[in-house]
Amino acid sequence: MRFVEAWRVALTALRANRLRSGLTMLGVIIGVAAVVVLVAIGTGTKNEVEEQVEGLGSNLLVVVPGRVDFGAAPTASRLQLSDVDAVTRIVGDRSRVAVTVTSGETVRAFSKSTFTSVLGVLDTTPNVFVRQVGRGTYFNKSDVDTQRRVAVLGASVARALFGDRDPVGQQANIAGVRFRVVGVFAPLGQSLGVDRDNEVHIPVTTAHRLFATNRIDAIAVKAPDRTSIDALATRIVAELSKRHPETEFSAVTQEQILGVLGDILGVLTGVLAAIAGISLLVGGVGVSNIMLVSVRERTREIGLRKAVGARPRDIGVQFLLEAVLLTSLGGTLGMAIGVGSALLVAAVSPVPAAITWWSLVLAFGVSAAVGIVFGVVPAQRAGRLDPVVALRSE
Amino acid sequence: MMPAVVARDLSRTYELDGVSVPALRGVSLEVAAGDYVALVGPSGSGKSTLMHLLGGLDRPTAGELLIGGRDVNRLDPAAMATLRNETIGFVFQAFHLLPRTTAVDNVALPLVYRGGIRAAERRRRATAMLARVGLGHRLDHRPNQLSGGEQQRVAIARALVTDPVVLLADEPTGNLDTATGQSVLTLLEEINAERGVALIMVTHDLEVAARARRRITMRDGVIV
Ligand SMILES: Nc1ncnc2c1ncn2[C@@H]1O[C@H](COP(=O)(O)OP(=O)(O)O)[C@@H](O)[C@H]1O
Ligand SMILES: [Mg+2]
Repeated sequence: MRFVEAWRVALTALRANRLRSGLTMLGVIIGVAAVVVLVAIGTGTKNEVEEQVEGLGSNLLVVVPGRVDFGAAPTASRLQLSDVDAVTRIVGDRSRVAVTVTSGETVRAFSKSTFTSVLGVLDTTPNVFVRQVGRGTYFNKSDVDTQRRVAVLGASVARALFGDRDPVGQQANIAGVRFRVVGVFAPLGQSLGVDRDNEVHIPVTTAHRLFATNRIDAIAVKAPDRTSIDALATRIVAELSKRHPETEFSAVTQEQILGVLGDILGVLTGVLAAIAGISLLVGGVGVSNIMLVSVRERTREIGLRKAVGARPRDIGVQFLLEAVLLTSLGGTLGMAIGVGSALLVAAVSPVPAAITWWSLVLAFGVSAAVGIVFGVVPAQRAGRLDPVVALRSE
Repeated sequence: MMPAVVARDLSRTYELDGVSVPALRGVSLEVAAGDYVALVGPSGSGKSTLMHLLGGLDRPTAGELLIGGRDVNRLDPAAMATLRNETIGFVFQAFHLLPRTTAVDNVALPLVYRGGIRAAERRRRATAMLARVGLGHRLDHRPNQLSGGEQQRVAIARALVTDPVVLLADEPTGNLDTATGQSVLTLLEEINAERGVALIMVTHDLEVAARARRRITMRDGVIV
């Protein structure tokens, strides 16, 4: 009964000061909305990056020269096709080994031109990575062996050069050399604002002549199964180190990449949540402030309630409820606004956003807790008021 | 029958900016159940201070005080609140009604804090009490829609709705004109007579003081 009265009084008080309650709530609304949106963006980014890394294929192993260290300068590659043959002997299956040598080049067809990444690769690429050819075919081993000038275009490149026409069988000019388009990749779309369809694949041997180099940037191996990845990595690195004693090599597995990316993005999400949490805290301080004002304004009312039998606890609960009501109402509104904004961001911008139930539970729980924490001091102050002093106040 | 209040050698000293103000200096009195006591004395003599102590709103600095048989020195703040709720009705000079709250809700407020009484029952009792003080037709009026005399009647109904042992009235007519004040006094005296609730009233009206069963005069914090 007393508790019901406390609810009623708290609600009445909030309604009596609509504008003030609204402004106080605004701090909490903004804080909670910020937590929800920023966590959604962090989570969405993490999901997307992980999806992409996983989407590359399974049981992947990438060998690069140099140490894989964020911030380390890239090491000039001394890898050559003979090293690839050595790796292939270790793997025992040519179709599981892929290579890249990359260069940015201008590609022309008819009167159109576009600047894109040209990748010199083996015919095994679609087998090692998940890459689907939408039209035409990928090139084959004999194209690689004979340095044929054939190219497979990314969907964006195909659209830029040929528009709605079918590029397969058409000529394209790469870095001043004529190539025949044999296929077009199925579109992959954008991720994190980067167009993944903006690339062209040509045989690695052709690329070496075109780029006037014989280097290989990286070797990728698709292990037969999960358990053999690490052993394979060790053997490949050992072999390459023997062949190039002056160079260090690193093998990176998909799992390691996922782990590192997950850590980075997890920290990012945490930092975003913490920043948003600070605004929630500021909102809480606002609640505390307003509650103290409310207690002062209603001192006479408190005195009267005490005079007719309200215990310190009854008064304390009444004011605590008022604070919790303020923040949980603000929290609910903030959650709605946060979810709405996150969906909007995901819909109209390349920034991904994923709403997670835990961020909602957390945001609401924290806002209610903020109400309790920041309501306790004003509530205690109200509960301890001396009735005689309170009644005399004006 | 147990006395309504027993005070022995009560004193109350206020500490104000490091200065001690002895408002009560050794007051002893006993008020029987159903008694009618007029408390008179010049301004500043300690009447209100004594009323606050007798009403359980304040605690004595020294001395013994039993209200309805309970020793206030042994009660914690929560128990004091319960004592006020169950034993005491207080009528203030300034009415002290909750604004934006109807007469019937104002009167029912002490029952809310008593606990365990349903809303319908609270309303029934408050309505009956308002009818008794002549405001049966003003149930849902708010204080700002009532005259001063009517507001004080609402306050009296609120003080009585819990069936207290003692009704304390500190200059209840101080904010009212003479005629209205007279009718409020008459109401208080009627209620004292018909309900057997002890009435302790601070007044400056010597006629009223003469009508009371007992008169206690204070000066400089002591009974003379
Ligand atoms: N809260 C207080 N703090 C300090 N002095 C007070 C306080 N309340 C009353 N007094 C002093 O105590 C004395 C008695 O006051 P009071 O009981 O209000 O007298 P009365 O009601 O008879 O006019 C006065 O001198 C008054 O100034
Ligand atoms: Mg006085």
